[in-house]
Amino acid sequence: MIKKAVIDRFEGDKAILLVGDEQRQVVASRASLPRTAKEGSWLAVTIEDDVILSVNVDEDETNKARQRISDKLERLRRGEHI
Amino acid sequence: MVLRKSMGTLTGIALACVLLLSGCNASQAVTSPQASSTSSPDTSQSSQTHSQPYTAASSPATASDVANLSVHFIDVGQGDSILIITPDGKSAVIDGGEASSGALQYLQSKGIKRLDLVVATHPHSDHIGGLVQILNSIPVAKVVTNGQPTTTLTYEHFLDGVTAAKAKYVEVKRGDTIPLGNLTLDVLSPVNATGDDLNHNSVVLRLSYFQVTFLFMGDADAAAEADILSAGMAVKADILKVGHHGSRYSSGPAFLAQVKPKVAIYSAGLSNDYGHPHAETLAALAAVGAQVYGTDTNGTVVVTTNGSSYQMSPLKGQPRGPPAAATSSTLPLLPTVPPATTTATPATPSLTATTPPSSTPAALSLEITSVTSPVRPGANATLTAKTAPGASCSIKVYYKSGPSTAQGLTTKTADSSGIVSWAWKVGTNTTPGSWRIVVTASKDGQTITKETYFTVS
Repeated sequence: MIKKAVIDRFEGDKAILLVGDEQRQVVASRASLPRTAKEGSWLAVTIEDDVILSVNVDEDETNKARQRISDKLERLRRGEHI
Repeated sequence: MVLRKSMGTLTGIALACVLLLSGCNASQAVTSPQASSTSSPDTSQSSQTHSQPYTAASSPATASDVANLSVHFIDVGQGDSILIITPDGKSAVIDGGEASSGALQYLQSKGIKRLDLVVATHPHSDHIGGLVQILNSIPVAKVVTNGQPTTTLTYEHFLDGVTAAKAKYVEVKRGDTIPLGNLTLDVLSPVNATGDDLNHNSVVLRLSYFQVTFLFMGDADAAAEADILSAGMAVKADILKVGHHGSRYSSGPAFLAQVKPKVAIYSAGLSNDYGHPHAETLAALAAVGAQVYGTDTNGTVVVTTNGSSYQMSPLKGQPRGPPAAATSSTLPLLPTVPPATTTATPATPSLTATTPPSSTPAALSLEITSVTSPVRPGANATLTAKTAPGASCSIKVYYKSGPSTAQGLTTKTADSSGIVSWAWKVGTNTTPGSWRIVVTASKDGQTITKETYFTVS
């Protein structure tokens, strides 16, 4: 099935993906990811039993998350939460 | 804090030993880790005490002046989480491991009901995942980050947690200081948290409690280490939290040569997917003579210090690297400095057995026996040291602005008892913080230097 995932980090030749709303960790080969994938890139992955069958970078989801998070961070920086 | 419960003021040599051991089974104190585990049925913990020259924390010395700082390297599997409890009872957490990896439970088991400070070194899930749960469970006064965001839901939940906790939110960079009770965390890195490499921008912190110094590397890589060195930052530390779980991309030889850690602790999960710690890193740590502990093999590792000596309490096992005896033999022996007040305290025979033999008579000795701390800006501070009679002694006090030019900080000659002391005024504009004092004594062609810290607040 196709799921949303985000690259949390790279460790050597491995990539740690956080999959779905539950952010479940799946360790993938870095070589199996598109070259444009970076830490923080959102992906559309086809995954079965934690095995990734295909991966596409989802620029739109990446930008949406970046914007949403940036807004939250700015509110913290301005101290509006206190 | 358990180690404080039976603390009394004691005389001389016994003081530094006993302070670290009060609250423990005395038989643990003086036996090998292996033997101690058999002699204390209620715990599997083993303990080792490392002694550095005893220095009274302030003048006059009292029991509270030499209370303990404890730093807990929590076993959270593959990730980092460190709890700091200061002598004045403040508490801080550096990173929280992955979500549900046990950091919160550990805090609760230590009776932590609120946190004065939470530091997220960088926003990877193995460092901030567990902070979400902490922020949602315990009141947190302040959260410090490097300001670099990422796009994961884990990070978003972290921001939501800071928001819900109504914690003060602060971003730091090199040169900043983070107050924690009477202590100060110095920020060595990053300079500018931008770019693709989140590890590189980890918040790197140095914490000194009198003569005992900790260095917390987060996941900072070798490039960050090189940048810290080239900036001329002080990095020497007794206890090093090894960068990036002991990976080969951190802990460069040039950096370790400057840190000169006596103890190195990495945090990693047993049989993790990444091969942490890497063999190269373990070899590099061994090459600088560090005793190496890891949360994968030793479980949670607690370091307890009174500012002059420290005790290692791994949950299980023993460190890699040079045995404790070899490390201790290179350390100066405890001097006989009586604190200003003494009360009769029954020192057990086993504790007396830890008393080291008298120091080598040939070498010039120097011990800082007292320093005023904390001091308010505008007030007077004094420092007293003991060395050989007639030794020529100088002192340097380093504030944020540079060396102090206060009158009174002149070269002096130790009296017939070997005592030398200085009194100086701390300027009214002195930046609050923990500042380094270096004392040098020279006699008959020998020179010895000792340093300590005092707090301006």
